[in-house]
Amino acid sequence: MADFNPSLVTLCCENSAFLVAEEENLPGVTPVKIPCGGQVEHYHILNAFDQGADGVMVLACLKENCKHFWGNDRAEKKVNYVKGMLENIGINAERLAYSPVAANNEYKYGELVKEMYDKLKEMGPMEGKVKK
Amino acid sequence: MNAQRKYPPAPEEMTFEPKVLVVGGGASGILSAEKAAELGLSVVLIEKTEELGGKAAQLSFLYQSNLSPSQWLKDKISSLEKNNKVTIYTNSQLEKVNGQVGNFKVTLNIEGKKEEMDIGAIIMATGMDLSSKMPAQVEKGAGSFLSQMEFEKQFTQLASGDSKTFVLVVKEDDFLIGCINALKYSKKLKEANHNVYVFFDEMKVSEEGTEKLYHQVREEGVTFIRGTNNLKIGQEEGKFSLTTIDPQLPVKLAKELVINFDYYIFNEDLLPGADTGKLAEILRVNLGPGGFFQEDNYHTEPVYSNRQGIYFVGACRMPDLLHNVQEQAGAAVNSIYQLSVADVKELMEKTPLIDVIKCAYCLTCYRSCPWNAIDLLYEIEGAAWDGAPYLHPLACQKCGCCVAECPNRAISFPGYTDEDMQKEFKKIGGKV
Ligand code: SF4
Ligand code: SF4
Repeated sequence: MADFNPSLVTLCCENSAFLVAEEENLPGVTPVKIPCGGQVEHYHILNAFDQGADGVMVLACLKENCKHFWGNDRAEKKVNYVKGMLENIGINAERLAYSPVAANNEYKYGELVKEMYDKLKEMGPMEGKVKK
Repeated sequence: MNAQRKYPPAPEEMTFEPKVLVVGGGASGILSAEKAAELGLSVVLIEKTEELGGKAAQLSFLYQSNLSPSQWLKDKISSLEKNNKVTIYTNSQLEKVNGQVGNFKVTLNIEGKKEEMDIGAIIMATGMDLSSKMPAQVEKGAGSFLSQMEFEKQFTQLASGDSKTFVLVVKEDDFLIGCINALKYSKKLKEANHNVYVFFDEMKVSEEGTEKLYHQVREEGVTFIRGTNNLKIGQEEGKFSLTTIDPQLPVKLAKELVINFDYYIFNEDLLPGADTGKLAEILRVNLGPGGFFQEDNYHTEPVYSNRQGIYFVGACRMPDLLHNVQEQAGAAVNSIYQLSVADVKELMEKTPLIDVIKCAYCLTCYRSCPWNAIDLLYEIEGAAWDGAPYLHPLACQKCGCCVAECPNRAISFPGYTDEDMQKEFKKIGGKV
């Protein structure tokens, strides 16, 4: 599937990852600002898939560095929960990932996104995608 | 049925009581009260013991200036007592805190009587505890072994006379107070022609002027020896001696060093005040490292807690020097002032709002808020369950945790509603 260009959504915490994501303008990647990892709802993750994303990443602050104390831990838990949901409906859970990124770590953001992007490329289009 | 309240409350209802409660009447409490009164806020200062002053009043002198700490505090106390903006209660304690910043409902125990008050903001200045352990078991002459605080109290008396030998031992701890005390003692003792030896693990000289002081006393002949682990104390005919091997010397050169001393001064362990844990429960704030009040969050200012309107000043957040405490008091009072003049209406527009028709009053939001920013309201017009929690606009930090946790999805976050997120997701794959 050489000609498949996946679309990836990164839900980025405005205190860390979004500051990086704004700078890095990567093709096929749509950064979406969230106020804190704690604000991530499964509804929004599923909605992103529904709107045509092939993969979703939730990027929040490093462990014990959250401005709102446990927002990043909550985000990680929520991502694991939604992974289970995805599996239940026959979607590869690998399409969803959680990673901590610091506000000054552009390199890590780039690497993480690239890794995910390559993985998605291999996986091909979303299993559940409805052709419109 | 009673008259029911509108939800959300109108911005005009969100008043800020211009009254500050300062808990603790030591130096940090006195400085905080002074700053707050300067800004025109009324102040209630409570102290659990009989008189104000705390530990700073027992210091004999400071390293920064020739000011006498006890006199300085006495002047401050008497000017606070004269100030009609300031009410001082001794033998009093904090019992209960309800409500949110601007309108805390506080219950105080004033000399055994309970009293309720409306308070705008709270400054915690409850200080620290000292714990000292004798470095050696001695049969007599225990008076030769003094902790730094005991030494402070008798300094003038002990430093008189001449050519006594003082050993100052500063065991490693997390704060620099032990080192700075040892330096300031060495200076005075050397001026009075005594012999001074300082044993230390790490010389902490990060405060202004302390490195200069260190070099100065070294030049004046104070002996500094690194390492406090191999000190052996011997006693012979009422005389004490200290035997050690300088760990910094190469093995070949290392010789036993024997010092006959008259006084052995050691630093105390600095611990959080005994009721810190209980007060944290009353205030619903997190404790930081070592059980002190200090919040371990680099996104916020050092004096902040995890609740708006509650601040930590002085040794209860971290043992520190007086001039730093003065700055902390200023920072806390400054934040109180900024909150008191904040534009509530504008903040309200950005704060997530609960839809009272959907809310089941399950209190999941109340429990999941990291900033404890949620008030509980009752008798709300149109509410499904008589009332609803209210995200207080001044206290809420707009993190969205409660929004994500609400099982009924009853909270909507301006800027991050389902529609707003949907709009963002429309951009997926380059289509706009
Ligand atoms: S948005 Fe965050 S700070 Fe505000 S009430 Fe909800 S959980 Fe608390
Ligand atoms: S979590 Fe939702 S339903 Fe429960 S009390 Fe809060 S707003 Fe109401």
